[in-house]
Amino acid sequence: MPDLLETFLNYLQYGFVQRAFVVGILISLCASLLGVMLVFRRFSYLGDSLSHVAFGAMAIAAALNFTDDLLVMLPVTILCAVFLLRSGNGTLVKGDASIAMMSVGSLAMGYLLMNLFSKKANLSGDVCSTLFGSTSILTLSSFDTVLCASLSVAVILFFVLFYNSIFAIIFDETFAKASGVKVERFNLVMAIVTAAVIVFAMRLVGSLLVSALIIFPTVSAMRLFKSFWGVTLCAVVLSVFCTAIGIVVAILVGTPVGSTIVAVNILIFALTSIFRRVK
Amino acid sequence: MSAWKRLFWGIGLWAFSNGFASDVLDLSRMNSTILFAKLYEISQSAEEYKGKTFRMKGYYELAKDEIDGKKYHVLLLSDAAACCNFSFEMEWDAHEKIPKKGSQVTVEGIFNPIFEEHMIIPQLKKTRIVP
Amino acid sequence: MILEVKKLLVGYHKKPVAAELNFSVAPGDFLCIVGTNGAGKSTLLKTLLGLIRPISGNIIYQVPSKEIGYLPQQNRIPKNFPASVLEIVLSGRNAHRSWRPFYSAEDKRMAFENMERLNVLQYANKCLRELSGGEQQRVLLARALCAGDKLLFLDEPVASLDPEATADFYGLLKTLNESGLTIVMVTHDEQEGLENASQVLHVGNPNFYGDLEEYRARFT
Repeated sequence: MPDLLETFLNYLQYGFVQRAFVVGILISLCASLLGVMLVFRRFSYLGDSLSHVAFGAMAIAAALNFTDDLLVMLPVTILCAVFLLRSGNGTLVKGDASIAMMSVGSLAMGYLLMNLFSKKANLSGDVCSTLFGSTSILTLSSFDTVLCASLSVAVILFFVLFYNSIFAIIFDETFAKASGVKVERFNLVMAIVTAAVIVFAMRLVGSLLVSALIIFPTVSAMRLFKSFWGVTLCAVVLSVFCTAIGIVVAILVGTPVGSTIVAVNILIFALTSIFRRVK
Repeated sequence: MSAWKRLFWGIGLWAFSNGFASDVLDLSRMNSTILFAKLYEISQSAEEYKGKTFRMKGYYELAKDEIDGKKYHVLLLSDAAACCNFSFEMEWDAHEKIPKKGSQVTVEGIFNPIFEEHMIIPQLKKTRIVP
Repeated sequence: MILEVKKLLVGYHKKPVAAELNFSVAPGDFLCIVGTNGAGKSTLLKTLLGLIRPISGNIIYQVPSKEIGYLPQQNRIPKNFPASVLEIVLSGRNAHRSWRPFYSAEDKRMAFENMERLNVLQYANKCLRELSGGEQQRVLLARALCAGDKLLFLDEPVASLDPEATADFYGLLKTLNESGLTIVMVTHDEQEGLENASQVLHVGNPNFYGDLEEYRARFT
């Protein structure tokens, strides 16, 4: 045990490990808040779909030789999020079909583009890392960290300041609109926030596992609490806890970070479900 | 031992081992997750690590460059899923006995990054096998 | 007049779903809006609330929107949504919150007052899904009163309630109406629903607006 502790403290000296913890915790905090907003609107799969779109955007960025792929990923994903979240209002394609098309299309095109255009030697490694987040959180630059931290603070502030309006919209959009809440504007902002958080969450757990980071904390929290405030707070705590433990285990044992975090989430979900049964 | 004592000893050992910081960067006992993260960091700031001694564990291979036909001694590091591979080019120390191809070895060498157009070729000079 | 409607055409994408409407609501009225399915009752209600734009015509309110409450049709609330009764009732105060991020003491006081008025105070910390249909409607009614307590719009409030809960709910509305709340209710229930009505608006071909007696004379 002291051996493990010594190793851990050793690793903690590394800049990239410190950044991983800071950014990981902030991102999982935002993802859990996002989960609270998405799960009840039946948009749980939106996280997954948008992350595939982001993957496609990243491939385009790589093909066009952008040094910082965020410049392509963020706008493209945001545009898709806005389109998808508003497409319920009378456009041709219905909800989940359009999400599915965009999602799978981006994943396929993205992989194709990467194979055709990328000059990098270790292509499959990059793809694997992007899809599953084996080590991407441990390879952040200081710039990435600052960007992530700023975004997280912005998202948290948004959620705190507009908590009551967000609750009203999620619970009953019609009533909220009738009582003067600017529903259209909020939906737009929530779409943008969703896209941004997903792009950054991909760095933590990879494209394919983003949904887990968004959904699990909320669903676990729902097994313990009955009020919206309770569920929100609990989801945040659980999410941060799972990420911290996940990173610790991954760097001590040598497992891929993304899957480890999701595994801890699943474990917590199982525990809360049992607790609920027993109670 | 109580948790507090363990923490105290842990911090003490950590300080101790840092006070005696040797010049050898020991990558041989790192698990693949942290190893690849560390290697990435090294590749991002290659200049700073130039001249430092690395100790690493991997597989020895003799590779042939397809373009100029030259043979290179390579140390292959791969992670559990074998999806990320990292290789170091090695220049053996004068009297070092070259190991069997494909065998697992632990080596120590001086890091010498070779800067080419778009890439950095990681090279180890004066490589010796260590137990 | 608390509300005047002149030459109003309601519908979607410039297609009217009903003929031109003309009616008014005086303080203390209990107006029931009836008509066959698809006649446009809900559309009319949503237009009056500003949720949909009218195709043409005038809607004139003499009461500020802060004093208008609304009880929407019940089926759209997500089934397993974790929200306590207190949180839901408080959300009615969003209309009064302006730029402040949190509810004031006054907001909380109003919420408790309305919960007590409607006999749901004891459920304050319970989850909505734990309550019966009738109790849920009372919670939503408390929310509506928090949003505004001079004029109340209801959209088929007893559609999913059993006969006993329905009778209870109508009793509640009668009490509220007698204490000064003006009510506009869209309903399917032409038997008991109209018992307490003072005015009836029939949306159909043709539209009819008048007293309860006139309506009964004409349509029964």
